[in-house]
Amino acid sequence: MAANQTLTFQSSDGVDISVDRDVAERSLLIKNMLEDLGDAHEAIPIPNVNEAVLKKVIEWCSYHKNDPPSTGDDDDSRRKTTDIDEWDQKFMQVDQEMLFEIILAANYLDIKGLLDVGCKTVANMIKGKSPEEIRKTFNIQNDFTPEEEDQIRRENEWAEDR
Amino acid sequence: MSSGTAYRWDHPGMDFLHLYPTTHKSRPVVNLYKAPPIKRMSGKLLVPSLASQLPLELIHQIFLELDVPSLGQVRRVNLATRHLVESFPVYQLLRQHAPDALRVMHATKCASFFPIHWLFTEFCQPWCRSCGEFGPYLYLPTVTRLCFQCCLFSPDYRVAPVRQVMFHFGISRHQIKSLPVIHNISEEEFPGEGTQRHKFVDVAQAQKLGLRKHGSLETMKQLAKERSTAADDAYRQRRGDLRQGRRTKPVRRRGIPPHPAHNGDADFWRHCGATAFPYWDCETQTLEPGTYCRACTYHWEEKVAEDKFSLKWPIFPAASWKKQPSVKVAYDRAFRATDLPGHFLHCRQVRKRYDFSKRQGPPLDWPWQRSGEDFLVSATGQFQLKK
Repeated sequence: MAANQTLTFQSSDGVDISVDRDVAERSLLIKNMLEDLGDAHEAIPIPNVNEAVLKKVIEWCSYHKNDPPSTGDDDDSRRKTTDIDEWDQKFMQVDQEMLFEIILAANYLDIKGLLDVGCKTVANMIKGKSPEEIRKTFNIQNDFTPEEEDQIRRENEWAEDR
Repeated sequence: MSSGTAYRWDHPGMDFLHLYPTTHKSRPVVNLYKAPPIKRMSGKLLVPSLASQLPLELIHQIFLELDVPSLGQVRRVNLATRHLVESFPVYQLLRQHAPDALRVMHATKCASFFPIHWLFTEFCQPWCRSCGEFGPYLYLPTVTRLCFQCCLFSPDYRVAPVRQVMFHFGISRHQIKSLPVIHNISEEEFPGEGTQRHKFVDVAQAQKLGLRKHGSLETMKQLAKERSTAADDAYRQRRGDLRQGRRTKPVRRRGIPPHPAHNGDADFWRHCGATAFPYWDCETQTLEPGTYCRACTYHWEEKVAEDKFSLKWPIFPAASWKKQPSVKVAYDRAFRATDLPGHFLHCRQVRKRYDFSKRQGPPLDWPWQRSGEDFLVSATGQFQLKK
């Protein structure tokens, strides 16, 4: 197998992007497909992901191409830290729409590491915030009546910081 | 395989952190937090931006990274997020089946340190991470399932008060905050310190933090020594000042805190880092809080321990037995009900065919005696309530 074969991805908006094979193989979807097909000489269509998002995803895969493969849900991965490494944090400083698009693309392309980082980033936007702050962050309307709100607060009582 | 009598202890957290109302005191240790069943609210479901942009499975993946208090806050955002959280199976199961553990985590103020998936992973696996037996307890600082013996004796899972850890490992108050801190909820008196509110951290985690800061164990020890010499010098200086009239305020000697790992009080702290935590069997969808052998219990309570009950925690914590007698170990050993026929086969107390209804003298008052309804476990693992 050629060490650094170049593949071509075609984004949903019809733009061709070339990617090194070892980078592309961070995606299990692509990796399995290549294993089944042998070699792909034509552009591989990625129908759910547009150019901007695909470029972001490839940027992440290039940076992480030498990461050890994830070993699944063993004890070690359970114990891994909840922190996101610095490069990933910077990488994820994008607007919310882009963030969700990246998560969706990572899910579709089956890139576990990127999906994890994406989910943790969203989780960090929620952690330790008050309901009002969460509403503001995600632009969510409050549709509770004051009585309902009070009832839920009381139900929660033991499950939240006071 | 063999049949025998077993029971599930009504108060499995008795020896550790718990919020059971106590009978020997007029008021509960900590006011019990109400956790009424989640009520469904009829009404329109508005679709929030979060849910409209991501499929449910990905929202659940994000929720797995959140801690229980944060999920509680998301529940308060609006109808749709409330529905999302309440229909999140992990949250539902833990709230329904492990409310006591959640309450303890809340009361000890450590709940927000752990993503719910840590908790759920331990909830769904039965074994003590230290010895491999069934473990009905959760060691809070690392969210690790442990058995009774390992809670008391494992060198890897133990807590120490924040003050001592800061002193000996040279960690600042600010740095300690990066570790899960367990606030003490027990009102039992600590030796020589009264009912002072302790805060605990895991010794291993704190030591690692100290090592990262100071480079080596030797440096850390050296620094602790210097700190204690400095404290002694300052004390002598103040005392000298007082004698020579340069000072009017009385001088108090601030004690040098004992080392977290080597001192007698550690036996008491052992009881402040863990709580009862049932096991959820995902395959059979059943809950196992821990099942005990009635014969082993009877043997200890009726034949061996009668004189020793009054010596139990708080005056004499279980951990201060350097080595527990084997009948006490058997008494504290919890099983999955399905594993009991294997235990009965070799259990020496079962062979003695005790009549469990015969009790010597007046029944001892709870909590010194375990309560729990007896049931029969057949050799094939079938259960039947005893009449």
